[in-house]
Amino acid sequence: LSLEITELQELIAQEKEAEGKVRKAREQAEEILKKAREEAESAAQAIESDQHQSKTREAKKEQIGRKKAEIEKEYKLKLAALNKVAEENFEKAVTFVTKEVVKVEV
Amino acid sequence: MSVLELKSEIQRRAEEESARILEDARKEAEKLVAEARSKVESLREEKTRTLMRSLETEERAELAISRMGQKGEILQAKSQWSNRVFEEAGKRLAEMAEKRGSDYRDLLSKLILEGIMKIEDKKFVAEVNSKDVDTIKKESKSILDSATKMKNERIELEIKTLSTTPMGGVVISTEDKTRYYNNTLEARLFSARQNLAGEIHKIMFKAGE
Repeated sequence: LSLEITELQELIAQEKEAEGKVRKAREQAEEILKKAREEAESAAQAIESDQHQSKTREAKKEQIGRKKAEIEKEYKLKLAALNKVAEENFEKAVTFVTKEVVKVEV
Repeated sequence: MSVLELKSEIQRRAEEESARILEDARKEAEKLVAEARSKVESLREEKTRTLMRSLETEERAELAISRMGQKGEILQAKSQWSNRVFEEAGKRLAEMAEKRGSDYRDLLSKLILEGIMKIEDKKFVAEVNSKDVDTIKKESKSILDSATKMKNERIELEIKTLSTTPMGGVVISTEDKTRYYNNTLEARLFSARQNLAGEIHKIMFKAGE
């Protein structure tokens, strides 16, 4: 192999250029990985401030509120029915008590 | 190999190396993000499951408390109705006693007899409302005859006025005051309240009767 100085210089320059290209590729690779890490980090953080959770909680509270209102309505009706029946049977009950109090077995 | 070929080879190798580095980085990045997403997804699912469990427990507790509160109101209403029944019965008994008609006079005699029968002795004191003293005195012979017959021994009865003024009825005690039987209308009403609560509930809150 017989090379002229100029040719050797050209080869060295070519080698340097190649090194530069590889270095740039490494930098780009670092950048790609850095972005990926950031993306992963951001996904993990998103779960901390998960809006889905607070929406679920809110929805459940509304559901509980509706069910409570239904229970109140149900018992309001029961109470009204109870008062109606009691009103109808009141006289019978008073008569029963009065008779029992004056019932003397001798 | 010529210089040109050498230069071309250097360039080719550099490009290959660069492409490999970038390809590896991309693959690594994809893996990293995919793993993170999968972890986040699994965490989110777990968190949601935990949240749902907690919310369902909360729901059960809140609804149970709500039902208990409502049931409490129903019980309170029943208790109020029951109180009204006994109050009204008390008023009617007081009215009956106040009129002092034949039914009351007959009742008073029976109350005295019952008291005498409940206590084992032969000398008794009957304490009544001042308004009933005369009535009892008029009926005392008949009462004593009945008591003597029922106990099969001679019964003595002293009539006194109660220091308190019950609506009616009598307190029977032995002469030495060691034993007594409270047969006032108040005491009987109180006793009825203790014993008839279940019966009253049945009468009051049974629909369709």
